[in-house]
Amino acid sequence: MKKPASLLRKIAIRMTLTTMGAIVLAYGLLWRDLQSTTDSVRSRSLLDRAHTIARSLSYTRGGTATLALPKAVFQAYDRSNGVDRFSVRDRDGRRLFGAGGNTAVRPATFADTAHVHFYDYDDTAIGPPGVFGIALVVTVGDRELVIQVEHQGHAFLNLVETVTADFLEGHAWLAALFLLALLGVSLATVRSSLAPLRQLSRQAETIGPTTTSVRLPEAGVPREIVPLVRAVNQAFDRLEDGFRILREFTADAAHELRTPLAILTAHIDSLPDRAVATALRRDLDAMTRLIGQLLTAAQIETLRIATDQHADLNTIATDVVAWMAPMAVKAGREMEVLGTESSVVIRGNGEAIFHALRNLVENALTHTPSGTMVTVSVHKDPPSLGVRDHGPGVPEELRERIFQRFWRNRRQSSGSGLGLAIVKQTMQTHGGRVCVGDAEGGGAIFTLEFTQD
Amino acid sequence: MRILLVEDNQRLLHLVADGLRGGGFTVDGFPTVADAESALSTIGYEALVLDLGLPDGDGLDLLRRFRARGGNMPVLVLTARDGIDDRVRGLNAGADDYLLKPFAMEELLARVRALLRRPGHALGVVLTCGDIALDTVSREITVGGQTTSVPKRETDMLEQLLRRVGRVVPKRALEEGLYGFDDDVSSNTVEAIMSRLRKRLAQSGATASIHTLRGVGYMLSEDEPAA
Repeated sequence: MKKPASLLRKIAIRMTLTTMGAIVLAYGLLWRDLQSTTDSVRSRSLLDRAHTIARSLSYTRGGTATLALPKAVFQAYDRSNGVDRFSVRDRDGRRLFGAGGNTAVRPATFADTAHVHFYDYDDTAIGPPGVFGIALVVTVGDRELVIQVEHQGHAFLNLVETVTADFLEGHAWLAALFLLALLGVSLATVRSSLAPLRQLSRQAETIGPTTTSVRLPEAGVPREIVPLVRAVNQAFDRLEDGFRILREFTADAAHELRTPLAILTAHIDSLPDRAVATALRRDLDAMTRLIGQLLTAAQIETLRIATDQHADLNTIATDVVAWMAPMAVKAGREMEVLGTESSVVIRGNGEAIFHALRNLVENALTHTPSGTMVTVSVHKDPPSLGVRDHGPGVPEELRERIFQRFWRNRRQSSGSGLGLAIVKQTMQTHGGRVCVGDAEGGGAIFTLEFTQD
Repeated sequence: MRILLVEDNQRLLHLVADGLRGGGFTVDGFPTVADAESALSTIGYEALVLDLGLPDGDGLDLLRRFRARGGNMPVLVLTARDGIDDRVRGLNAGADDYLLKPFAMEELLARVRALLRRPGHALGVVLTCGDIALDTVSREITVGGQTTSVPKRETDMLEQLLRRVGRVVPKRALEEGLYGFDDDVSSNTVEAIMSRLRKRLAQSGATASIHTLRGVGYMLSEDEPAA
C-alpha cells in the first residue's frame, strides 16, 4: 500500500515552488524594466547629441552651411573607433559634415517627413548589426538638414549586463535567504499548529477494541479539528453503550438461566430415590457447566480492559489452585504452584485471567492420571502462566483445532467444548496468546503468554 | 440458630428454606429488600443468606447498608452472576462468602455452618472433620473418640485447618496465625509442624488428612471411602 503523504512535506514542497516562482517572476519583471529603461536612456542620449549638433549648425550669407562644434567633440567621435558617429546631410542625402565614420544612407529616412526618426540597422539589414541611430530633421535658415547620430549598441548592452550581473552577484543571495527564512517560518508555524494533532493521533493510537473508555481531549485542539474529535468521541460513546448493553444482557441472561437451574437442583436434592437423584444431578451438572461456559464466553466477548487495570499472575495462580484444590483432592490428583519470588504484574482483568487459567487447570485435572501432579507455573520474562499435566498430551495436528468453539475430542465428550475457546479469546483480548506443547517427561503444557506491561 | 433467607423466586425460597430447616436451622424467608430490612431491624439473626437480584433493589445495596449500620453477622451471598467482576464486588460489599447458583444443598449447609464457626460468632464449638474433633475452648482433640495429645502449635494449626475444612488455607495465613510477633518465623517451621501433625493424625488412624498444595497452602479434607 502507498504510504500517505505527510501534510508537512506537502506544504513544504508547495511553499518552496510558490516562493521560487514569485522570485523568478520578480526578477523577470525587474529585467524587463531595466531593458526598457536602457532603451529610453539610449534614445534620449542620441537625441541630446543630435540637438547639440543642431544648435551648432548655421548658414553663412553665401548659403554655405557651417558646423561650429568644439574640436574636442569631433575628436571624441573620431576616437570612438566607429562606436559613435554622426553625419549632417541635406535632403538629398549628401553628407555635409561628419565624424567617427560614415552613417547609413537610408532613403526611407530621408523621405520621411517626421521630425525625429529612430532606426535600427538590424531590421533593414543595411549596415552592421547592433547599430542604433537617430535621424533628426532640423530647419536651418530656410533649408532642411538631416542630422544622423549613430551608436554601435554593444556598449549599452554591456552596461546592462554588467549592472544585472552586479545586482545578481551582490544581492541575489538575499532572495535565497528570504526564501529560506520564509520556508523556515512557515514550516515552524505549520509544525507547531500540527503538534496538537500529532498529540491526538498518539492518543487515538492507544484506543483499541478493548479500551473503549478512552476519549480524545478537546482542549488544545485547533478549532477546525474540534468537530472531528467530537464525532470520534461520540462514535466511542455509542460503541461503549453497545458493549454495556451486551454486558447487561449476558448478566441478565445468566440470572434468568441460573435461577431455574437452582430450583431444579434443589428439587433433585430433595428426591427420596438417591440413585435417580445422582443420575439426574450428573446430567444437570453438565448442563449447568455448558450454560456457565456459554455465559462466560459471551462475557469475554465484551470484556474491556481499562488502562489502569492490573493483575498479579502469582496471585491468580495461587487463587486458581486454591479454588480447584477441593475438586482435585476429591479426584485424587495433586496440584502445586511454582511461583516467582516477586510479583508479576501485567495489564489485564484478573477475573478473566482467573477464568481462563481455571479452564486450563480443569482440563489438566481431567487428563492427568490419578495420583499425578498438575503444576501451575509463573514466569516473569515474558510474563506467562504454565499449566502442566501428566496426561497423554495433545497431538501435533490438533494443536490449532482444540481452541475452536465446540471442538471436542471424539473420545472425550464431558466438556462443554467452550473452555479452550474462552481461554483463546481471553488471551487475544489481553494482546497475548495461548499455546500448547509437550512437557518434558510426558504430558501437555499449556502456556498463557502476556505482553510485557 | 435462626437464619434470614432473602430470595425473590418463591419456589427457590421454599426449597432452600426447607433444605436449611433440614439442616437444623430456624429459617425466616422473604422475597424483597423491604421485607428483609424490616425483619433485620426487629429480629436478631445468626446469619443472613442473601440473593443479589431482588425485585425492589440490589442485594448488595442491602448488604452495604446493613454493614454501614454496624451489622456484623456472617453473610452468605447467593448469586447467579458469574460475572468476571461480581465475585470480587460481593466480597467488597461485606459478604463473608458466596455461592454461585445453582448449588447443591449440602454445599450451602456446609458453607453456612463454616460461617457460623468463624471466631467471634460462636464460642465453645466443636470443630470436626471425618473422625477428628477439636473443642475450641478446652483445646481437646479426639480422633475416633480417643483423646489424642497434640502440642499447642500443632493444635493451633489444626484449628485453622478445621475452620476452613475442605478449602485451602494459605501458608501465610498459617504463619500469621501460629506465631506471636516476638517469635522467630522461619518458613520452614510451618512445614515441619505440618509434617509432624500429618504423621500424628495418620498414626491415630484419622479418616481425614492434610493435603499439601506446594506454593499455595494446606487443606484438610475427609478421606474418600476406598473404592
